[in-house]
Amino acid sequence: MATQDRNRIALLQGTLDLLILRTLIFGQQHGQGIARAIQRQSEDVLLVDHGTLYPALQRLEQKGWIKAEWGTSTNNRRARFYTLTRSGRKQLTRETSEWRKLTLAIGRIVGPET
Amino acid sequence: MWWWRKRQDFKAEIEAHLQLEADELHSEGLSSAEAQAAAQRVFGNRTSAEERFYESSHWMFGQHFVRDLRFAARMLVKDAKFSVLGVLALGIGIGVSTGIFALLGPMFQPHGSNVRSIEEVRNPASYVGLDRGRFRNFSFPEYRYFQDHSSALEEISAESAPYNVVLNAISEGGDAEQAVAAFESAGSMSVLGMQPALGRSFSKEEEQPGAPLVAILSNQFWRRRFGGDAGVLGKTIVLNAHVVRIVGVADPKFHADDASAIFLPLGLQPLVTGQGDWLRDSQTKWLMASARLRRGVSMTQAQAETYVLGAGFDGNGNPGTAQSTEDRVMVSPGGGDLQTALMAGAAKTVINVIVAMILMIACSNLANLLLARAAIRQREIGVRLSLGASRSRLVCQLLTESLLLSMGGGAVGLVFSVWLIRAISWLSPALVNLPSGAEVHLGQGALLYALVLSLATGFAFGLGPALAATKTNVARALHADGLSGTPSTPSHKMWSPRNLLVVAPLSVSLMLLIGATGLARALQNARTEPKFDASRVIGVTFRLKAQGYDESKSLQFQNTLRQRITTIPGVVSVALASGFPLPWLPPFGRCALSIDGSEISAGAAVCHAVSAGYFETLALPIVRGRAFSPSDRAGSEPAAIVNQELARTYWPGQEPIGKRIRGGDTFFEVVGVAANVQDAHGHFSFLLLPTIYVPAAQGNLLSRSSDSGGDRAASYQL
Repeated sequence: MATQDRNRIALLQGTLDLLILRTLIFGQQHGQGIARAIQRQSEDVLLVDHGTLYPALQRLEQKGWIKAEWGTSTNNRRARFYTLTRSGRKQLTRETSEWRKLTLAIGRIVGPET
Repeated sequence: MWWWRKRQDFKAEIEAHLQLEADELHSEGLSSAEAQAAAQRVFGNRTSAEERFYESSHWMFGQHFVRDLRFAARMLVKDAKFSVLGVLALGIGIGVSTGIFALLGPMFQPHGSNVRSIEEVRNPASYVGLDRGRFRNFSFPEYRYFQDHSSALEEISAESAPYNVVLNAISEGGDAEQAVAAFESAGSMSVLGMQPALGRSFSKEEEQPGAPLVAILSNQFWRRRFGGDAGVLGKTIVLNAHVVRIVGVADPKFHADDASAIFLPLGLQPLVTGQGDWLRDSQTKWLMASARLRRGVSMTQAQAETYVLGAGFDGNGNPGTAQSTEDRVMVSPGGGDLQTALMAGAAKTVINVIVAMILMIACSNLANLLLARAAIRQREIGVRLSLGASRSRLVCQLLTESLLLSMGGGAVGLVFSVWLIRAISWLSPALVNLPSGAEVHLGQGALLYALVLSLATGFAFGLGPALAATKTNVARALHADGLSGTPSTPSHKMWSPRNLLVVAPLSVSLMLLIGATGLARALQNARTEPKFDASRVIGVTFRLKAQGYDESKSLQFQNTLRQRITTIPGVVSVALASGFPLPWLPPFGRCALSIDGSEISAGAAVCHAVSAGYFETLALPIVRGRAFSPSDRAGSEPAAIVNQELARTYWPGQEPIGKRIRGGDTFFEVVGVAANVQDAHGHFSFLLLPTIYVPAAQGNLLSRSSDSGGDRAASYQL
């Protein structure tokens, strides 16, 4: 684990929301699943602080972008499952395009890998 | 809904997360204990997550408020000197405001004799009062003249001022009693949009001389004395020794705010009062008139018409000569008492403004205290800001403190206001003008007023200092400067809030001081206390003529009465007079005079025939000349004493002694000037009338209205 941690990057502020919404596009998921999914999909580069994940989920729920209900996980544990709402989908589209523009712009400035 | 999500739920979710994570780590090959620990480690600070969840819930406001309240209370207790000072300052401000607020109601309650509240009028839009001259009253011929000639006004009606009558026992074995009656025209009730509750109202014929002896009872009197018995119609009462038949009961709202018990038709005036026939007399102005605007007629049109009509009437039905402005007939909306009402309203506003100023002074003092304190607490605030407290939280907290302070002030203020009310009612009962026995209570209105006032002042005057205090430069506040307790940015601006807080109360105080001086001067000029010593004087009225006594029997009665009263232990002196010294009931006891060729009409002067010892008994000072002596008897040179008002009005800057006044056909020589007797009733519209006193023995010489054998008031001093 120690070697893994060195390659990991802490999330940029504001990107967690995007990642959560993006993860939920494949269907409902519980918090731990979301954290794992982000980690896995980023090939263990992005580290999700589990402590900040839940307040973030809470915030998204308040904004109405996701909704939650209790259910049972694949290994028979009770967990709170989150689903993307219609407005959450719209928000995802918006944030994705913004993100693309941002990375493109930053990429131009930083320049290609030497 | 999410905001109902419980803390427990959030905890359970985190628990579930840890389980799921541990499961996964376990499946990845860690031992279950290691997996648990790793899951916990990766999660990080669990408490912090829970806190953040907690803060995002809507309950924060209430939570913060309770905490702020506790904190504020602690801070206030800690700085007891400041708190006590602040609470007292505010308490005085709020106390004065609330006390005056509670007093304003009864102070301006019209329970005078001829004050008619506007609410009494059902359709006020077209209702107008007619006022003529200084005394706003009309003579009977004048009233009839307007009734016959006005095309802009309809339903012109008239009524007299209240008049005391003697009523024989109503029920068998009861006592005779004095009751208040008023003479009313046929339309008196209908012009107000009222109907008799029983029976009928007066007819036009009953306004004429020689009217039948009929009466209408006031609703209150009917309920009180006849138990609301519908069989009262057709019964008779004996009023001033005349048998009068009851033909109706008035609308409950008719004269509801005065003591009138019996209404008599105008036509009965000569018979009932025994003071002359005012129905044929255009000099005696004894009627108050009101009317309705005819449909489509504007106030201005009506006013224009009454000007013309008023000018056309000189008392004998002949076209009048030039009319002085004072003698014009004024049409006023809502009845003549609107003026009084407006005056009272204006006075109310003035008092409210004054009270608001006092409150403002108290508040600015509080704000000053708060500012000073904020400066002292600069360091504390700096520390809290640097520890991450948000400015809004700090402002909230400081505001809570000032609100707590102002609520404390409000509570103290309530106590103060109760004391204030007691003090004022005790010091000047006339001002509070309450029926005896009644007390002013802090009603719900006053309590609410105090509460709103406290909250508003706490908020308004706490916000500024709170905002100022939190605008602290953290670095400086924590530095050595901050320690000294001086403000981080000393203001040198002329119009800084701090300076304003000193300047504003000072200027307001100055304004109040100037205003108070003016008020004191005004009060000196219009003192409402009687100038004679009334504290040990007892007045008794005998209506001898009304009881059927003739002249010789009356004289005999009076002599006997005088002798008998003198023998009562404790009686210092006795005097007889044709009327009481406070002439607030127009126009009874008034007479026509002629001074240096200028005529004073009957409504404009008061005449009293008084016995020897009158001025001594009332302790009414003779400020010039002499009092009556036994030598002022029938046959001797007719003598008179006038009051200061008469002397001032007719002989300004001249020596009144030795002047001559003609009353009837007799010339009276002025031998003395008595002090003015002024209305002690606390009425707003009291009149100080020119008054002439003549010796009772010479009283017959006054040809009009002073009927020597008639009504006598005896006053005796204990």
